[in-house]
Amino acid sequence: MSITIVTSDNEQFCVEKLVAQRIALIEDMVENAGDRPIPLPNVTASVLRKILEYCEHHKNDPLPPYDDGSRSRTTHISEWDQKFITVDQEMLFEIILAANYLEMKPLLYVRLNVPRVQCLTACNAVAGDIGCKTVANMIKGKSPEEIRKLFNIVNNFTPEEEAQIRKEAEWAEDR
Amino acid sequence: MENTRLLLEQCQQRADDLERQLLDTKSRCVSLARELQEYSPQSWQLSDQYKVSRHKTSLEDLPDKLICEIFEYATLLCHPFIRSLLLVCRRFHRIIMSASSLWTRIDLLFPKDLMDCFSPTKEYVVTCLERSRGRLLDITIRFPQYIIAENYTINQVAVEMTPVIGQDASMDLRRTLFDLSWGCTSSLVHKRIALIQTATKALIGSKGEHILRWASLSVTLSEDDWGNFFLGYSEEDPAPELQRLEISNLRFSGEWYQSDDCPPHPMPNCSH
Repeated sequence: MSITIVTSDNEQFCVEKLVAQRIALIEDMVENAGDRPIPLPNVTASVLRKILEYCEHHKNDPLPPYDDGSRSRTTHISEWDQKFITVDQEMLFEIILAANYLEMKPLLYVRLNVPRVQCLTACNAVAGDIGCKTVANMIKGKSPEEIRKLFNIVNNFTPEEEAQIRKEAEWAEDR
Repeated sequence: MENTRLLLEQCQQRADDLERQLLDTKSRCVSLARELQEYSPQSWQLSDQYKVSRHKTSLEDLPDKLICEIFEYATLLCHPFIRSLLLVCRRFHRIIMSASSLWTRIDLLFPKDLMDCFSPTKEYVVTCLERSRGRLLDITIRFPQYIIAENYTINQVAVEMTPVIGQDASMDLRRTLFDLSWGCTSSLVHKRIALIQTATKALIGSKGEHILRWASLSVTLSEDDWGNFFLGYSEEDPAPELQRLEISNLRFSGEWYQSDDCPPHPMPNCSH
């Protein structure tokens, strides 16, 4: 069985229901939509194509191990996911935003009937979380200036503000 | 007939005007083409700039909660890195300062060699304790190989002498220096040790009050028995919220841990 999804740029995708169900927002909408196409006004075709590629690959994945949010968390990304997320910066952030909009995190909670706490921590498996890990890996170990340059961020501190923050954060200076 | 002749003259005049205009325009066109040729490299750059001016989704488009999630991951292995993030821009600073969850990890990762440069200080610990606003803490401590001044200096001598006198003689030398209670007079070494002790004790609190907030504790012990001092506190005041305890180099823990003890001390909710 398949459903039809329409993106913001008016492209139609015919998607296997099992794949689409990885996306909580769509699963919620399927019940009300009947046979009508499901509109996704906040997602473009190119981004949805990537999201569906991810869902297709992970459609039969079991629930990831319990993550209590502490040291057991890791920034490790599997080989396939790494390849999947090797995209330009714009697409990377589009995927993160789309996964957030599509509520991919609670999906596991709804579908697999696991405790809410476990659902929220199972987010490591979704595309958005891989995106966050990827951005974190890009940031790690870089200086403030390098981070600004990498993401085209403007330093909007006044010199006085910056000096004050540096002074307050002297605890992290090497001794 | 006369009228026709006049009309033809007007038409001819008009045609001449148009021809002049055409020539002027052609000339202007050649001139502009030449000018354009001069600007062509710049025009490529302008075209790129035009492309950039279209809104491209960037890190700044992410909501605060996702930025916070990214920071959680970015500081996972070395929490003091949070300082770099604080200094990027006002938005990053605001997000970090308002998210107490970003201050619940405390990493005291001292270098293997006591005298190598390091950053974790008492001020860092106090900052995390304050900004985490009473939340439970995930603590990682990696002590240097030697923390007791005498042990450190004897090891330094032994390491230096090993290539000269060999491994066995170096071990003998080490034992002899220990037997002689060979002291360390370097004020720099003592100062460095005091810094480590102060930072570590700040995690405990003057009356052990911060132990109540320990949710996980990972300790890599030094090769002398100084780490026992730290674990000794937790023996006196078991951490009621401790969910995870990891001790590396347990073989160096001296009398504190006996292999028969499991778990080493009663800590409610704790897995090892």
